Amino acid sequence: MPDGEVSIVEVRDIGEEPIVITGLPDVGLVGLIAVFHLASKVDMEEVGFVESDLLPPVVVLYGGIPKSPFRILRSGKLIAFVSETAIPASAVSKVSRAIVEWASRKKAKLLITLGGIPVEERYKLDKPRVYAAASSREVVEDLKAKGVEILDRGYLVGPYALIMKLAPLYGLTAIGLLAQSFFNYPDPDAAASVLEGLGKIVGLDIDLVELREKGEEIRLAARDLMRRTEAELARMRKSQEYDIPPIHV
Amino acid sequence: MSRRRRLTDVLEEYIDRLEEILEGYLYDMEERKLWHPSSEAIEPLANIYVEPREVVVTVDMPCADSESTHVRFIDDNTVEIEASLQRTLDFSSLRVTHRSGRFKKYHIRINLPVSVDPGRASITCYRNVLELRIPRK
Repeated sequence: MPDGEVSIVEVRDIGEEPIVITGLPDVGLVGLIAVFHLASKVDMEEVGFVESDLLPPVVVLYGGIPKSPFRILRSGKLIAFVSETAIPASAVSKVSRAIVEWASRKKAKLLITLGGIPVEERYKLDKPRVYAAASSREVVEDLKAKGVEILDRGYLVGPYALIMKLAPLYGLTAIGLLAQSFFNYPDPDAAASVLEGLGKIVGLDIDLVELREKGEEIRLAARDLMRRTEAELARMRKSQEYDIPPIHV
Repeated sequence: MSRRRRLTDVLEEYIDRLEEILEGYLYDMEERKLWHPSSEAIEPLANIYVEPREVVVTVDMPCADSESTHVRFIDDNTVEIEASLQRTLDFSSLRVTHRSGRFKKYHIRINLPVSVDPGRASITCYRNVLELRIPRK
């Protein structure tokens, strides 16, 4: 593989027309926590990984076996990209494009990015609300009809922003599902909210009891990854998501 | 023309220096250890927000016994926060078997960027996220 490229390696056959979801390290590690919980509940198997010299030279050990921290999981038509290591800000653009190009080659029916949208005083919210943005007006209207709130205005920064921007250029439909979340504390409650939203869109009934019950343990265990992710969020100027866009006249 | 050129150079050097400072700060943040077996303490993740009239500190302390939280001001710019864990934690409970060490508490010392009035601080805990609001001097 040439320097500076991102390769998506399939170790098992992945069929066509999947629904592709992403859970990449971002604010509150929302997407990552959500995908890992989903994987445990719908019995997802590993079918591939993402490889690039732009990513940190890291493996994760499971039972003494080294694995890529950036893996692809599958359960039926549902495919998930999830990373257990922070994605360097300098690699975000190429990684996002590689995922969209791969999804296009697979003729993906839908591309859904799971994540958080940071809000002030998140700790005062009992249940984070979920908002969606989508790659076309038709999808926005469809989401509204399904009872999903729309993130009407604001900035998005990072992989899910790029994935949603690029998807229509490849003829794909993309949805960003974002729960109100902490910026730099792991947020399992936001992950539970985002999975509720995902359930509405893809028609899945996901058991969230364990995620909510084990929330504090997850917060404790995810601190190190959160701290490393926070540094990359700063490098990609993630705090712009707090900014108010100028009013267009 | 040469004067404009010099000003541009100065500005670029200034921006480069700011980038270096930011990168140094981020490197320190990434590489700082949060687990301290020798003192049986975990450093919690924390944020500091400087508002016009007060400083708001939040500290994420999952699995802490919130009743045991102890906040101590060392001076007008430094606060120390400690809380016991609900149960003693060790690396093996996190399925890390090659390291030894146990942890009984959270501990953090925070340097505040402006002076505050510790006597008027208020403390609230929301599901083990501590919020400390301290009026500025």
